[in-house]
Amino acid sequence: MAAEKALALVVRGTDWSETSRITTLFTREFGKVRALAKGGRRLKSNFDVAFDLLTVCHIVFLRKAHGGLDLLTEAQMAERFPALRHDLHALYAGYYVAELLADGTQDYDPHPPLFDAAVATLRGFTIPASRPSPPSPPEGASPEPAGRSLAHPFPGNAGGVSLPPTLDSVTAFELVWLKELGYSPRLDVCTGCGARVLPPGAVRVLFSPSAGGVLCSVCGPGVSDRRALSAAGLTALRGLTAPGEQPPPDLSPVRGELRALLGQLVSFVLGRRPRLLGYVEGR
Amino acid sequence: MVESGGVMQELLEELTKLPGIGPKSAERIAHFLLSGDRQNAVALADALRAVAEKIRPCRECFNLTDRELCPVCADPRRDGGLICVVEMPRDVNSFERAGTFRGLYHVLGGKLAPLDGMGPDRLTLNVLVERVRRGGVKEVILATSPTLEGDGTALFAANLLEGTGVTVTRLARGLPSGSSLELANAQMLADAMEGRRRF
Ligand SMILES: [Zn+2]
Repeated sequence: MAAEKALALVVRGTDWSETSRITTLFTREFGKVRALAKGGRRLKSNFDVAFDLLTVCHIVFLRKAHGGLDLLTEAQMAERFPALRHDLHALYAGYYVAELLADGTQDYDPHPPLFDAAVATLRGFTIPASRPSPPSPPEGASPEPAGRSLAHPFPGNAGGVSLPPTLDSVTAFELVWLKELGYSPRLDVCTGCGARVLPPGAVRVLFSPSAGGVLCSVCGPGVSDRRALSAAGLTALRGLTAPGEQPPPDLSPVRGELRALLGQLVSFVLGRRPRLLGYVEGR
Repeated sequence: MVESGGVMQELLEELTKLPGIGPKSAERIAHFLLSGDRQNAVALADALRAVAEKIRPCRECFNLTDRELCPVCADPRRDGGLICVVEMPRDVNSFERAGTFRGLYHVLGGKLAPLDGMGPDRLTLNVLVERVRRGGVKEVILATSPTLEGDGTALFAANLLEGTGVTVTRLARGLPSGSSLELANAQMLADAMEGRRRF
């Protein structure tokens, strides 16, 4: 058994016994690691943190040679993200990042850029300055009982009409996740025949998760999971994925469209719809 | 070693489902129950059956009870203006053992943990809002666990209660009483500093 050191983000935790936890960590150096933290639930254990979800920590662990759980021997908290405890949008987005790292990567398959993107996404959330007062019901509306509905407990988004801007950082993270897993969508030419997909004057193209990108008007109709993508949406996606190109400063006109497309693409790659997707999108 | 027939095997299997009981402990318990007075085993079986059949959630607070109302809700001396929101019935027991809280409880039935498929609709949050809306509640104390998921559950509940006019508070956290600064970890110290109050 070799002792290894790593910088790790806690992406899942399960209580194993009265005092121990099994923790899934996404490490910068080794990728996903599942390890037993003996005494990890005791307040005065030698672990500096109780392996709370979405905490970054420096860990030392003993790597088992033939499968089985690795054993954590040391852990020290490096960073926490306070906004997750003050803003539900940020919390759900953080859980979603954890889900894609825990369920969408393989054990011991390192992706340092993905680790960095996860931490940058979590760091990017800020604590709302003040909580906006709840919107009052319009005159003559049936008296809305006090309190929010379970479906829309977000301050300032009671109707669920506008998608929260936290989604843009989620979109950016998903694109890194896709790229690291080798599923970056092809956006320049048709994935079927290599033809140009956006002739001058065209307002939309076709996109297919199973084809792995955009499709021309000849190849597209034969693909079952095709969907329309507006020229503006395609331009925004190209901006977000192409290195060097600046993404558009405001994604709001295409936010809904990009969310639908990425939700479908991520579900295709993951093999199922992510649990947190509905939460992240406020649905 | 007793001949392990069908019923014995069944008992061992049931025992190993209990928390902290492995195959060895299960065998020890089974042999203890069968040695000496078998009446003990029958009494245990009766108690288990009674609990399984009679214990249910309190109509008001979802604490476990064998009546309509749990002993806390049924006690007229408790302060109905205070509701302490906890995750599980065992948390009520912890507060009751401490013996300092004189208000009422509300048991959520878990914590908001979407990664484990635990959504808000599986918690008793709607009933909590109902209780507050009925009036008479001045303060709701969110006593969910001091973890990200516990904090998230508290945040969700606080958002739901916004607009009801009730004061929403969160349990303090920080240094364990009777301990020393030396033994406190970085997070405990940070929490204690953040939650400090006037001397
Ligand atoms: Zn009760």
